[in-house]
Amino acid sequence: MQFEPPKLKKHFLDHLEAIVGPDGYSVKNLDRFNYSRDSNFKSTIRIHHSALEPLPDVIVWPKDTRQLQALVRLAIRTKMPMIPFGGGSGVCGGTIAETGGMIVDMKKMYRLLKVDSANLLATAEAGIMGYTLEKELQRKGYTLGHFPSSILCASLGGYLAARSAGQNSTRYGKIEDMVRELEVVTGQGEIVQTRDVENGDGLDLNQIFTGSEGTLGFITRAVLKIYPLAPCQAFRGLRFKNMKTGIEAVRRIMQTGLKPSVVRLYDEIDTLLFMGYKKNKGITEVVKGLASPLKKLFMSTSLWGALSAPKLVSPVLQHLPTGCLLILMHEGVERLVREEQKIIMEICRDLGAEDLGEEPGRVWHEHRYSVSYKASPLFHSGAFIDTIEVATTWDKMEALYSAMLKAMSSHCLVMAHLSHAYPEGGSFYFTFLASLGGLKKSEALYDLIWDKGITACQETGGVISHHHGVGRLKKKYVDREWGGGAALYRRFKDYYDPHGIMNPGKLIELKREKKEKVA
Amino acid sequence: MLETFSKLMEYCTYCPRLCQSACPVAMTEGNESFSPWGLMQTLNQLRKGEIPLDSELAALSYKCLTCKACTTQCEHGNEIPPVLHEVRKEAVARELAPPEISGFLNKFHKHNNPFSKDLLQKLKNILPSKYFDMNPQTIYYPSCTTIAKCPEVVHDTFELFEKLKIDFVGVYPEAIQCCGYPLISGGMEYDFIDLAEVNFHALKKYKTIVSGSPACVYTLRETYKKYDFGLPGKVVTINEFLEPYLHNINYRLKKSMRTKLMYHDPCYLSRYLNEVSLPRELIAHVSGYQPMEFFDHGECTHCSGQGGCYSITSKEASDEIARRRLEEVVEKKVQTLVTQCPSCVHKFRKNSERLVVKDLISYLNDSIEGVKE
Amino acid sequence: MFHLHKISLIAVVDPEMRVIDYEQKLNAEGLTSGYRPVTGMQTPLSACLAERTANLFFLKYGGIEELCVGGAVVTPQGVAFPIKDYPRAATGCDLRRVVIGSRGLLGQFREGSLKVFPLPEALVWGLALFEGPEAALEGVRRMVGSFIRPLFVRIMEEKEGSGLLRSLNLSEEAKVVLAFKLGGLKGMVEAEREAVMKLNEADNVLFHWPVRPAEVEVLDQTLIVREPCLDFWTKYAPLAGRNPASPATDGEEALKKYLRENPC
Repeated sequence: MQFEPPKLKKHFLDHLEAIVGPDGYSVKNLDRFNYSRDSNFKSTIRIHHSALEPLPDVIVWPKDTRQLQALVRLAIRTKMPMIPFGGGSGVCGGTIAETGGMIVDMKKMYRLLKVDSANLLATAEAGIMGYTLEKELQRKGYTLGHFPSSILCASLGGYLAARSAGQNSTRYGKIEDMVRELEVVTGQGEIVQTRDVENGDGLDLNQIFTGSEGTLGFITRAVLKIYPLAPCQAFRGLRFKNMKTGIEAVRRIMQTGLKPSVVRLYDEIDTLLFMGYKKNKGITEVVKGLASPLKKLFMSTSLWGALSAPKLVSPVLQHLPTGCLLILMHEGVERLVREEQKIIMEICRDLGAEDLGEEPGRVWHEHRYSVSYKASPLFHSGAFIDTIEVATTWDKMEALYSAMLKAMSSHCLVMAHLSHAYPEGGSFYFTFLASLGGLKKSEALYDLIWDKGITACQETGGVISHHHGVGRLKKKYVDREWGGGAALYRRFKDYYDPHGIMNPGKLIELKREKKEKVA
Repeated sequence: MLETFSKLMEYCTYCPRLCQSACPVAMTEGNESFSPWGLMQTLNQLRKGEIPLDSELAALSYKCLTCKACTTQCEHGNEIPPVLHEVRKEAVARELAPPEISGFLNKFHKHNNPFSKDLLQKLKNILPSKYFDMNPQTIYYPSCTTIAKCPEVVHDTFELFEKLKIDFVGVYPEAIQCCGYPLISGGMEYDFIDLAEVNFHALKKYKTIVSGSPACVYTLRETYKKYDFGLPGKVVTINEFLEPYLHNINYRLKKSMRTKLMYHDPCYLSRYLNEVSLPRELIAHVSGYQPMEFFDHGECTHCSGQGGCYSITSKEASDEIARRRLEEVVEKKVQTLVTQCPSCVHKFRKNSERLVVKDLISYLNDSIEGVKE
Repeated sequence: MFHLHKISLIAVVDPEMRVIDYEQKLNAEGLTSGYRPVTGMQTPLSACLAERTANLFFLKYGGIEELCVGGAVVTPQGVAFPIKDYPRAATGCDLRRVVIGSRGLLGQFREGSLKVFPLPEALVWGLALFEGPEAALEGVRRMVGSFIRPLFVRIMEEKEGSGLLRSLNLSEEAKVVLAFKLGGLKGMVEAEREAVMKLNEADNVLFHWPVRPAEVEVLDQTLIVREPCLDFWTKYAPLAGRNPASPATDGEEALKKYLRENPC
């Protein structure tokens, strides 16, 4: 593995050191190596083959907004690309230093600054880790209500930059629903404060910067909505005959106006994997006899048989008689939780669901972050995996599910669950598995699966990301996604990043960049 | 050298760094390279022969407290410290370890302890001579950090023994020296083996060895075994030793001891020795109250910042780790912090002016007046 | 133009339609827009979208930015583009939400897709009598913190409060009256009613639940139907975790200026 030396001038480093001090930056090769990728699976495929991603030239750890502002101004003078970095949990390659430059790790700005119990608001610096933030809030009797499966490894800045969603988003909303105010250091080198304009007058700067993935500026601080910890939690698992009735149930539940914390519907293969949890007695009982041969299939060499011939195996798996599992979690005052459960159970019974009791829900909750641990054993044994999360309105849900499944399943093993639900629609979370070959072959297969999946999604009218963001991975689809609306983003980009240094090569393929290359 | 760890290292390499928010080093220094993920994915490249072991990589291997918070977080149960120990050993052998490590070793060799002081002399000033002359079967093994940094714990231990009429415990008198924990943890294996051999011969005659330092207990009980110096007698924590006496003896309690306190689980006690409920039971036993808890407690505790030679190579960050841990104590408006590890006691005292930091033994001794006649 | 997607509960409308006409069309289908602009029901939807006109019923249904799920936009330079309907996305900035409230700077809706809701099965007015404004605020905080989302909340102090009690022929005296209107599924509204009382049990808060048509009429007329209700926002801003109408920040003004000089 060869590390190209950083392309930096002594003069630049002197300026850098004047801003952040001698311990505030690193040009060490090992640090550059460790900042060359986030958690996107294309990079994981590459590291499996000891292939590098582009290295940043330097990593910087600013301690406060002023230092960061000085860094941006230095970068403007030296035309140095700047890439924000939080926890490195991103799965779209949004923090890869595509053209080298300066990675700005925000983790030294890690404070929960204020908890305003009168207005139920919390102010925190962007570098705080999601889990730390939630723990500190819970220590004080509050919750952000944001529980993404990346909570252990994502930062608040990352949540905001990529429009993260937690597993309880049905109740608490996504991060863009929680954000009230932001402090941003833009690519102009200015500090911009935003304000809360929800249900009121004003230009919504929060919604410009949230989701901008570092291409307009650095989010340094945020004011967020918080809630008192719920006094009561309840869980339920139900089994539906198929996805069609399951989707219908989730739609009806959401359109009653109720706000259960978690509503997740697993398709047949995903249901099967769910049963893999050791403690999952309740559901394994229900599908006794099925679980064991299929578990074997997944755990043994026959998995590789399945992965080498997905065209043959996928149709079989997709028609397993496991049924589709619905997981429900309720939170709140006990009286309301009971009523909510009663209403929802009626809806599900009307659609022929089988009540599996509270066990599957509890097991789900206990293992809510486990899914992220599953990738390592798979890669280790020679398979690659990734997930695609898309969203649409209810009228298109079933079509979206079928179209994407069909488009992808001849190339890989694919499963899905309806992961987040709203009155007007929801999101599907597809997981795909394929076997690793040589580097070139694996990368090509990976790209092909993504292309098939995303194209099917766009053709059906879905949005190509619900909560992972775009990054490097999906940027070539964004022009089609936004249509003429991209003109708005380009205007923001012109204004906030006139020097083109903010996280270049992410979010959208800028026409300006293309033109320059042609010229 | 690392092939035995290949599965673990591969798992870490492919993991979206799920343990990082549990890692005090990663969270305090903010550098991905120092997270268990960064350490393992980098060393995995060393294993695969993609990068060489140089001083930069050697220094990286010291960016760990060996507190195993990551292991608790990891659903695969991956243990990072053994991997790092291998690299540190190699680094020391090839003279690639950070200068602080060789400096430490020089200092250590003066009196066979990390403090360059004659600790036996100091111990003799703390304890009456009778404890040195009794030829006992059970001895108390005071850790060097206890003698050097919190000597009152030694005093309180024997005072408590007196109050509870425990009269058969002597003190380890042989040219008092370290158990070797910092040596083995820092990768100084040869020096550790020499020391362990001497200690083994001095300690093998005792039936029971009691220590108030979890790292000493772990080293004497577990690490010595790995180097064929397994002690024939029992090595027990002070709590394990005291528990039956505290439950069976009828003693008087001081009423004034019912102050609000928090208990900090030392990582070696809770994660290496699995002693989580016993200290709490003892506190409840003498005070009638459960101690207040940190949000991260028990096996999910946070290291005080002193472990694994990290405080030698990364002084400032190590203090910062302690200060961050203490924030929660201040937030809860608690004045007394009880823990049971001389390194934790020392670290917390060093990083807090106002807080009363006590070893659990001192707390017990303060609470108990004496046996009812 | 008016098209209803009954599966997704989305209405596609011509923004020039007045809110009152839109609401009536929906009511005929057993639905509601969930929207009651503080500028009055005569306001056209286009103005509401352009100015992000506050919704009196935002606690339950959200503001207009939450109601709008897509549509068709034309920029000041005349670039027309559709925004597909979707619940939430993570594809860059939210084009819907930046256009809404931009007063045309970023574009105007030529077509709007708005969420609609089933008409509430049950509607219940509640009055809670508190010792002072801070106690009443705490009462609301408890409600909102427990996800009890009334259509409408109002804290009435001194004369305003006692005036309301008198108009309902209630003899109690109270420094502060908290009036709120619960709505939704019958069972849920009943559960919310009980939960609200339970939440305030320890403070001995007195509750009235006016049910007679005449009483309901008085409350609806005094608190909701009166138009416009522009004083609403400043008074209740903190209740939903929002800062009271803070002025535009320098950053916001600067962007507006830039967009005026460099239209999209």
